[in-house]
Amino acid sequence: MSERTPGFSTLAIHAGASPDPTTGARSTPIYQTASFVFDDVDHAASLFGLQAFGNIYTRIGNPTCAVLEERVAALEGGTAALAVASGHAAEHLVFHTLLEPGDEFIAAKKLYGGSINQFNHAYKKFGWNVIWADSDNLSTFEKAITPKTKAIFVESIANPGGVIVDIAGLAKIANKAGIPLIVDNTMASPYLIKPFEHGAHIVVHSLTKFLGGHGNSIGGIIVDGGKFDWMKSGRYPSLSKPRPEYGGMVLGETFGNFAFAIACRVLGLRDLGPALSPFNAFMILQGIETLPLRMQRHCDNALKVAKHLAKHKAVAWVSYPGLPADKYHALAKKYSPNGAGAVFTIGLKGGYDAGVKLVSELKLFSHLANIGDTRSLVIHPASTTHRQLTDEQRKIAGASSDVVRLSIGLEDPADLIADLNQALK
Amino acid sequence: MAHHFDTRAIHAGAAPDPTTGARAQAIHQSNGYVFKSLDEGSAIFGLEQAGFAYGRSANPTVAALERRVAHLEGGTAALATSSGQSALLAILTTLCRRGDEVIAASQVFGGTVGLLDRFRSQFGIRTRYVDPHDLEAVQAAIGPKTRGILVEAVLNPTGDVVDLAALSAIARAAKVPLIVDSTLATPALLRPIEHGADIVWHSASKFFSGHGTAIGGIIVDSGNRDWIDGRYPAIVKPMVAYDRVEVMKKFPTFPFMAACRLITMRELGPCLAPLTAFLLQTGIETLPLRMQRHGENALALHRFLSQHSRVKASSHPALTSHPRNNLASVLLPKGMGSVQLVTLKGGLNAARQVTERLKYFSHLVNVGEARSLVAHPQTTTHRNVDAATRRAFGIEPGSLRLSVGLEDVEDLIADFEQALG
Repeated sequence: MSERTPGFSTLAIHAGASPDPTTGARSTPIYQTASFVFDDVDHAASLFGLQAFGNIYTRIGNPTCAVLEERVAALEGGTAALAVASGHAAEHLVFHTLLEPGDEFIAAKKLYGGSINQFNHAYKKFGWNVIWADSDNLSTFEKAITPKTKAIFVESIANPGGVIVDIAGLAKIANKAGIPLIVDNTMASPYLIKPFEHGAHIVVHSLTKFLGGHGNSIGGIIVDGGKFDWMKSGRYPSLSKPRPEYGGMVLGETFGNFAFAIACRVLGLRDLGPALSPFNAFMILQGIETLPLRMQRHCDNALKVAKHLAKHKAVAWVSYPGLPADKYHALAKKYSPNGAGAVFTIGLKGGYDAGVKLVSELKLFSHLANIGDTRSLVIHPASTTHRQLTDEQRKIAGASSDVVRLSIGLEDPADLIADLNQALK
Repeated sequence: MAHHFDTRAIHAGAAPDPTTGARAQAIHQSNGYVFKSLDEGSAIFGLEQAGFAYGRSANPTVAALERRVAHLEGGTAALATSSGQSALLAILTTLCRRGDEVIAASQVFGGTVGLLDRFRSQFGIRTRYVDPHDLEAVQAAIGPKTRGILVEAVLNPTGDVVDLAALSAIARAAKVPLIVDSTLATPALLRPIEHGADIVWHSASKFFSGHGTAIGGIIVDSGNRDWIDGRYPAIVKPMVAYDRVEVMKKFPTFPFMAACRLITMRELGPCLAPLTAFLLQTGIETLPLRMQRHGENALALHRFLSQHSRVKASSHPALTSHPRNNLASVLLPKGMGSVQLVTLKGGLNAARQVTERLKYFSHLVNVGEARSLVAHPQTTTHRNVDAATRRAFGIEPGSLRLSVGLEDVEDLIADFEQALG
């Protein structure tokens, strides 16, 4: 069977996992242990010196988390992955590996609000500077590149939904500048979009969303595309310079096409410490087993709901790329042919008050700040996440008073439409 | 809530946590529950007030699972147990006393046979086995001591079906409950109560869990039965051990479940762990999606296998050669599940070769996982069953039980192609 490439659904169930050799247990064991016993002193020394692969301490690596890492790497088509405590932690470790104080990176303006905060505020303490660009106008990325630029960061489908990013176009710009393109693939999941196939170099996820799928575990992951030549570039000292903490080892040389994932682990995760709990890794692995089924149903349901809302008299507009009239429809067909995701925004004719009323009167949709749950979710950014901003700031952030964000779940779509109808009355 | 099935699989019985707003079901890993007052403690213990007292009898996380499954099956209440075996234990101990009898289908899961044998040898409760397809034989087996008729909605390991409505009519006339093990069907495909079942039970370890990561069982009370005929003292007589409560009067809409909880769960103790209840609820959220794909994959694979030169027979009821093809089509319009037998030419040696060569089918004795599974009944699950019963099942030395998973079906067909090659 070695000549046959397994299908996506098969990988979602099997990649990275095998029966436990000691007991035969078919489900991946939860290794809820802090540490692992060494065979002997030499074994311990070789593990610490990165001369051998193995388990030392769960902050650095854990066999349950390792199955998750292998599975997501396989689904994304990457060389290796590193699971961490949250999506935020994944971003932090990526930039910690790539940037030095005073460095810059360019990020798309339309991003998850948490990432905007992280880049604007938290990263200032490290001397990392974000330059914002417009993913609808790729020349803004090109123009923003300076000798200090070390990376480009975008979301494949941008939060709060409805924006499809031209990954291949950005990859071209990144390659020309000799810098990696980092794609946050949370909203699409590899079922819809595989950014490496379009030239991305690094993929990150909040595992909390569609990969976990049930809104019950927080986690993040970094996937190494294996294509960026860190040694040739020479601009990323974490990878291309001898590491004093590992006896002068050059990670980019020793670990080749998965050196980036290794550097995130042995420098970032080891020293900064945002490790994923083995139990959460187990829950997320269980979620991934149904990822193909869920994503398809999420997209099918979202399209049905979006079509209905586009015709509804209380709705001013619907921003969903699955709709043929949408400005991102052509990009959606190119990058995400199986569906345009489950998260999108609508504008209500009744403005702020109508948004508050809708959120209050929906019964099946839960009013909360998450996406990618089996349950349908709703949030009115102007009265919640973007409450502190001025009207002008809200408008720029795509969170005007009339905007409501929906994350469409796996319920029967007829029930979701009925719920929206009664709440919009 | 008049919502559709897919919506209820996600929402029924659940609500955000009132204290914190948490949207995912909270895992209440707590043994005890603080009483607000001495009077409240007394009222809960005296069954005057609903509430939680001690984790063996009831737990909030387990209760959410019970509400969801009761809703999905169309019953009035449910009781979760630590395994499918203990679900059957609860049913039998609630219905039967020494000297009583039950009727069971001659083709039932080996674990069921094992428990029924133990009831005979240790408690003097005898089982009369009958062919569930022979309605006259079922009728003829009923006697004054009969306390229930046990069948499986979809038979393990063949995937065969029984005529639930006809069996229900017989049970109703005899005033005994029809007790249906619906493990292999799940309410996504078939709801036995709609066909006249009085009690439905499951090994929740299978398709409810869906991922092979949790052992559990559950009993659903249809609430439809009138127990007042003296044969079921646990349900209608005052309980000496419990304030002389009469369960039927106290809990008229779910007397059977209440009796199971008060007797088996409280006194014998096979309670479900809260963490397992949480895992099972997570599994149930994708039950409709999974059952549909399981059914599609199994049908496609068995169609392929039934045409293969090295295959003697497939037991999939969708094949027109199957004796109950019509009945299966009526009972299971949304899919026929994914547990069926394939019998290879070449007997044990062929079975050994294929089992050991298969790559995506794990050789183990579970069913209903996302992963595809294969077992050889003659050497494992049915090794202690006599040859005549094995023949009744259609189990031969070359038979393999398949539990077809959620992988790409092309990969599963290719896996069999290479294993048979």
